[in-house]
Amino acid sequence: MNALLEQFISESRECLQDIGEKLMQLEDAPGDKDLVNELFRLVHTLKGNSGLFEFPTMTRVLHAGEDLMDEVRNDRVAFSRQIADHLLDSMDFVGLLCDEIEASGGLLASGMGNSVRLAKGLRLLIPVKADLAAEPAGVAPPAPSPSEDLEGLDGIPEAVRMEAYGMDRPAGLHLVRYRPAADCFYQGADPLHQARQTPGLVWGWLCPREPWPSLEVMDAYRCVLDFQVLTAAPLEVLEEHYRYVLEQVKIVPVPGLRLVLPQGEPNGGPVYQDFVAEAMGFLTAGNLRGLAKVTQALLDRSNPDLWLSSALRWLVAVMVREPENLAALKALIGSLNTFQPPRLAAVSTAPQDPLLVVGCDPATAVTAHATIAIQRTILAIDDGSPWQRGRIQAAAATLSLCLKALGHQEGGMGTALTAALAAGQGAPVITWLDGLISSAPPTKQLPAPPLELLPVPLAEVPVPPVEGEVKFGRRAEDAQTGPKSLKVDQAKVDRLMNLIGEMVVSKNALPYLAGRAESVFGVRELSREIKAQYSVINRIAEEMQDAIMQVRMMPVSFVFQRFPRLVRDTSRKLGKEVNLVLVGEDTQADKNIIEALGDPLVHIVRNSLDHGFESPETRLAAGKPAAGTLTLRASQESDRVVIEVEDDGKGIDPLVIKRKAYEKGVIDEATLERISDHDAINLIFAPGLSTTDVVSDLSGRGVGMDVVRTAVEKVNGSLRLDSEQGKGTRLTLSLPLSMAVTNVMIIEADGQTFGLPMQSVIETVRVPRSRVMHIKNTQATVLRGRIVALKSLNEKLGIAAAPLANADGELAVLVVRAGHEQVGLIVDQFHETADVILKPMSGVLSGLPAYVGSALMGDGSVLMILNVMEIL
Amino acid sequence: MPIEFQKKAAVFLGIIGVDEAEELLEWLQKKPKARIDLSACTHLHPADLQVLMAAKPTISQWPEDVSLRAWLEPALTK
Repeated sequence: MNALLEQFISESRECLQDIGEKLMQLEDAPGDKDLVNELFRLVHTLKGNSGLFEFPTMTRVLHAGEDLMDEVRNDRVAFSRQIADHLLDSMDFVGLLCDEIEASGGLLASGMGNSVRLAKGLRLLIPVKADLAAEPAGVAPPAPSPSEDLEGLDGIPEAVRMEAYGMDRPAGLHLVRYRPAADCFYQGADPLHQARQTPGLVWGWLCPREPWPSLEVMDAYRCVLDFQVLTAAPLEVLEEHYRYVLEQVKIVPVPGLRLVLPQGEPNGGPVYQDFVAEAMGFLTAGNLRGLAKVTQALLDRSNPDLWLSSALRWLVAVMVREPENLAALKALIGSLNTFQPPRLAAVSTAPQDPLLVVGCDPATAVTAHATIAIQRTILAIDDGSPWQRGRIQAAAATLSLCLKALGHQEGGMGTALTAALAAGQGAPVITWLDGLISSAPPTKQLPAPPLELLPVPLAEVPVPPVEGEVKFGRRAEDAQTGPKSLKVDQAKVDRLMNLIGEMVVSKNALPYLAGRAESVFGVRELSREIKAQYSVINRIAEEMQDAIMQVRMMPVSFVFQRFPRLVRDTSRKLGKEVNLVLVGEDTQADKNIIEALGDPLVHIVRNSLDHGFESPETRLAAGKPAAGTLTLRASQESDRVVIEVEDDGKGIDPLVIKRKAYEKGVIDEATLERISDHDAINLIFAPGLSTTDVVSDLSGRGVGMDVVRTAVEKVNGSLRLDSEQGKGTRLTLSLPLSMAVTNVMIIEADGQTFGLPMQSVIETVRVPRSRVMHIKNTQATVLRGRIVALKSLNEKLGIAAAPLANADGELAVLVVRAGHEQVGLIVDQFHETADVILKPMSGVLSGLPAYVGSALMGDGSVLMILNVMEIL
Repeated sequence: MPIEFQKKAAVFLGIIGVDEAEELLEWLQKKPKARIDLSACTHLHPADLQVLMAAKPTISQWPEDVSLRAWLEPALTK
């Protein structure tokens, strides 16, 4: 699931929660305008958000909710408990959809039907305005009664119906009645195509809604056709197929027997009383074979176009498909007397088979039933013959197999058989069999209601209402699948962070305590124990700190995601072709760092697009592909996150920069002479250089680069620029992963302790006084073949004391990084490094640039952290 | 041109889109006795179908596409 979707889900949940609350409040104070407005706003937001994704199921409901709230807001509808109920239900439904999206990354079509029903329910609460068209969009005409829904089935050719009736249809049959909107052609709809593509299509037909007008006044583009499709596809599949027009579609289940509609020429009148009587006789006796025989015989003798023949064909078909549905057969035979199609109103497609436990195919069932009947006859024979017992055993074995074929567990058969064998009679097994049939457990299918054998003109057939009340309530008793992420105010996390910081600091007090225990009180044992405890607390504190940092971590993609658009738009505007490549978007860093990264990156990218890339023609002339490539790469290097912005543009000309910097007084003449190309291009970050337009126009890079540098340095980051003329430029930003805890080196100068951020410390060395050279009035020393300028911290801080040397006459020199130079800082003494929570200077002290901030040490003292760049 | 309008007949070829309906309607108004050959038609937009249903021209050839024919024949022979 992508980050956007995740955010959508978490926001939606929040929104739903709010809506729920507001609805409750509104119930107590129905007149509160602010609440209504707020509610409308929430529903509106939610709808808007859902529209960003392909979730028509969700959007439909929310849209209806929004419309309803709009009416309420404009006082056209009074807020009522009913509205609240509907809205709450709908929001519960949306909540369920959210769960579904979260679980599967998308929505199944199954919710579509519910969505339409809910939306319809909501819309029904909006009163139709009189001036509106008679058939307002979204409000369906009053639902026709169920039997009307099944009208038109007689239009299907008998052969097709018979095939549909006889076919194996696990999903049942459905009739789709599709009434496209009159203006649907203007919306690009092709209802015929839609209908033709219906899955599981058995037969489809169409009919005009109204008589055809004369051609002169006809509007070819007003759809007046209704489409009907008989299909064997399951409801969900149909809803999925018609998902965009569900309001215009009615899907009605079709019981198989509803297809049994004899058709044909009546040929005079009922003259088949003989056959009817004979057939009824066979039926009553349960002799299906006999019935089939006479039916076939009559069928062979009759004209196939007759109504009679059609009815007989159906009789055969029903006998094959549902041989045990005697009532249906009876009705069919009876219909021969009346020439009225039998009203076979069974709701379930297959009548209940008491022995059928799990679905097995009908053919097997028929055979098994026949076999059981025969075995029963055999068992009933009681002629006292010597093979009676063998016969009973054989019959029982056959019965057992038949029952197994029907999916029945033949429990109790053994006992009955034993009894039968003991008695020498089949009766106990028969009794058991009868008991089994009568006490058959309820099977998967619902028991069929008794068949209504009514002549056609009588009452409507009850078909279960399709639009039942659907509840999506997630009440307290329901199992809650709570959201896995939780949204916490940043202030809370920050507080936790501060507390952890305090903890880190106070834990650092323990070593002092241990030291005191030993040196002041002379209890070495206690000192050791304190140290042991300290290491435990230290470990836990570090883990806690790490855990909290993880909470604050965000992927770089948060910043990166805005660039595709920015690059596209800017390059379009500049007439350049640039491909953006993003690498390592899931690299994580502290939220503050990521946020601080945004503006500088935009600046850098814009600069690169504006000045770095050449026009496509120039590029082609230079033998480069017309489209340039801009790469944004994020990676993690130990405790720092490194962002690289690389282009394959024209690079930076160091000569131009040098000259310009000299003109602007950023560098002096001597520097101009000796500065390396690499150092020269880094001059673009110098404040004096970047602020002038002239330079930016001339040299390209420069606009706001000072701003970039300042922003990056503010979060203790560093910048590096590499550029090769004609090949491209690479800007590397290195930022700490987190700014919460700063690692500092503690040093001493004239009895005072100071801290220096570790990232600026390169090394600590002891330099013998003899190795210190004086060049004019500055000091320097040679360190591994390099000259390093030495500066005294005391002097820089205005302390009058001279640097202290140790017993061997060596000076403590801290080699620090100052820009791209290395400088040796002479201090009195080195101390350990420590993790501190750096607090920026506030109030009057904030005006002291020499310090970046202060920190509280474990022993309660305050450590001032020096700003290396400032003091040098 | 998906519909070939001849002197007394229109031959429908392949898929007939929604745009043809207007022209078809005009043509049928002028030639109420025209014959329609649908044999090469594989699909036609309901707008065209409506026009045919309203005009009730003689269908000289039904579509070879069986599924389409099953839809059209009952509608156009009523």
